[in-house]
Amino acid sequence: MLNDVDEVKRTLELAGYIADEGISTAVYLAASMGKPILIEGPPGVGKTALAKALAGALDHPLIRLQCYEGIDEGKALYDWEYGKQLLYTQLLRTQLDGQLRGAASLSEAVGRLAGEESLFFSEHFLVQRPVLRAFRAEKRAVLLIDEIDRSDDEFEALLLEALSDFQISIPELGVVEARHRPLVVLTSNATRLISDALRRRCLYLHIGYPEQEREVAIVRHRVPETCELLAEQLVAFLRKARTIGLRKPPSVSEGIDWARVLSLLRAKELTRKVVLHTAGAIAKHQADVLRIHELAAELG
Amino acid sequence: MERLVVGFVRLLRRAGLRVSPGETLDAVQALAATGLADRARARAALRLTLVKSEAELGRFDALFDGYFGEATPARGPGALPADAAAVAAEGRWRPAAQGDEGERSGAKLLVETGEEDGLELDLDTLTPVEGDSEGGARMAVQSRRFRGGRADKPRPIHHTRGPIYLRTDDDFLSRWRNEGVKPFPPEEEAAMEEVVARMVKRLRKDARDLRSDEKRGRLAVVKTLQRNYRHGLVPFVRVLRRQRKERPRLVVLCDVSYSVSHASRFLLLLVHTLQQGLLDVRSFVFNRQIAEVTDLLRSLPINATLERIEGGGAVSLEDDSDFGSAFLAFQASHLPSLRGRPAVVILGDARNNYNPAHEEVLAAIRERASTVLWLTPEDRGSWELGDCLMNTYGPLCDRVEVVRNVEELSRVVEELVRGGGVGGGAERERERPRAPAAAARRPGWTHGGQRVET
Repeated sequence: MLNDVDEVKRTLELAGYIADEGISTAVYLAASMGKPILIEGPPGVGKTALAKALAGALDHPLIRLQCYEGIDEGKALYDWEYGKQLLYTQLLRTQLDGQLRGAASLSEAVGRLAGEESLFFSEHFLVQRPVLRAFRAEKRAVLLIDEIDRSDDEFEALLLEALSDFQISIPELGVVEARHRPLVVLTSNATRLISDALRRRCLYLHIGYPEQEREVAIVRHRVPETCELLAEQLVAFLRKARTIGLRKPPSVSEGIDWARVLSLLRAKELTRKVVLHTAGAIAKHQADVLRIHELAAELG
Repeated sequence: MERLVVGFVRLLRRAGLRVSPGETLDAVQALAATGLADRARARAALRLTLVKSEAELGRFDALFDGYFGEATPARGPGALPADAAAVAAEGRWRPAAQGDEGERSGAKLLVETGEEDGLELDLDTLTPVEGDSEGGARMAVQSRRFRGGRADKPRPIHHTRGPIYLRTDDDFLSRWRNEGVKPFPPEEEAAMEEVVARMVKRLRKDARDLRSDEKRGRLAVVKTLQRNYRHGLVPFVRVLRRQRKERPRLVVLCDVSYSVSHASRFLLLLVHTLQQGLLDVRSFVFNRQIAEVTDLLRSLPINATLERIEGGGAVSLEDDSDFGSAFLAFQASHLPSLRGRPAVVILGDARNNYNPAHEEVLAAIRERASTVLWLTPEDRGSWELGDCLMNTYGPLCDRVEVVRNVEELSRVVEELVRGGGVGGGAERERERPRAPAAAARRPGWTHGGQRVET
């Protein structure tokens, strides 16, 4: 399905994602080279949506890891189920007693117990967290590591092995390799500098605000009720609003929300009055609402 | 194709992009996958593998167009005279002749044609720029100041296609001349961000070490039992007593009088960047009066803050600076409200305009602080000249450092952090060379290899 760039583009479009040349080339290369994609860009331009569309189009499970400050391997890679381990030792006490009965010395008993040790550190007691789950999935998965810039840099280092070799070293078990190499998508809002080590292991894709045509296509694709004229006016307005230095410039996702609002109101054209009433869909701060109103005055 | 990619990578490296051999391999692989037929696609493939940050995208695109342009003429150093840039720039205006030695280092060409506004070219790697019909691309020369170190004369290594025209109007020239004094260029802010990121990382590590120190306490029997109740009181998890809790805290006093305005900008930039980090920073500016600017720095971008402060919005800049009365005011209204034992950083030239020194107040501030660090932009030689009180204030500080630019500042602050100056305080006794106040404080004592603060 991902055999050449044009096919990728068509596949994504079927899943409702309009990709440009850069994005579809990135997906194609990620699939053919087996490298993760690191996507940076302002919020709301479709970074996370790309992973979702990819999973939807390929009918792969989407496994999502939302990063936050203080996330660690116990939350991202794997964890041991201590409670279950304890419970089993309690329940198996009689068996253990039987095993150890007749041991001539203490050291022999310890030796016998050590023989069974691997039982308690087996996959049975392993909790799979998103990354391991994506590696051990029955079919190829799409692993979305969302907002990596929110995590600490130690966590980035933790991911390096997984992202470059698609394996995880678990001290008690050894190296666990991926059954199928997942398609990995990392997103970042660039609130923190991602380390070079991580960047090197990824294809770096910067998604900015789309060009007029593509944005019109996106809006019309996501909100089919919108007529061509309205979509064009709306996108032109959004593009202008992005240049006037708002606190939170309206993004593609806001544009889609706005188109939805307008279609609910059955607006056929973008007039000053319509903008005044619906400014809340694209402006997220009071100061921004006022600026949008000023901008609307030009519409007449 | 390999040769093509390697040649392009060499060009990128020369332009300052860091490309590893691994990335070059990736690029070859990617290009093989997409093919060369479609230019936009090939560009996307190279971009994905060779560019690793948003800041590099612009430079990459310019170099890509130069390298993979249609009908590339004979390339190579022999195609043009060695100092093509200087030749082309002569006539109207010559960048190298402007300013002193330091200002010339790392000169950049800022292209201002209609299409490529804001594109920056390193003079070392001059690349072709299409001239417009009215007589050439307009170029602006911008020097990265305060970076020092690289005093290399800018020289074009790479080929140039066609002449470069320079057109400079007075308005632009005056803007350029003011560049170093007026707002911080983004790269300066980026350099500072890098320094601060490094510092913050180290501070975080310190905070972690502190936490693990905490855990080195004695066993908390009751808490251990409580925690292990569900394991049938078998102590799987041990809980240790906490010893002390300390966060790195920083108090910055910054002289903003005209005499040090250049250096104070740096410290304000540092503090502004720090404030976004994890630190508990309180910042004050003073001239004769003193005012807290913590909230101001937190809410406004750096250049707006500077404008506000330099316009006299925080403290009046009409008077001459007076450290003594500023310290008195600080003691009266802010010292009691300081939490913990912060590291105090004072920036100023200690030129007191012959006002009373009030050094006893500085001693009092030091009693409350874990470290007092004084940064001065003046050389050691001039500390005794005129109204400079550095030799009065100096002995009351843990350290006095001469700081004029980002690099020096980062070195000092890193040493301060590494020495455990911020937050820690364990190194204090050792670091204090001449300390009149040391006798007044009871020294700490050790017990069982563990230090006990009194």
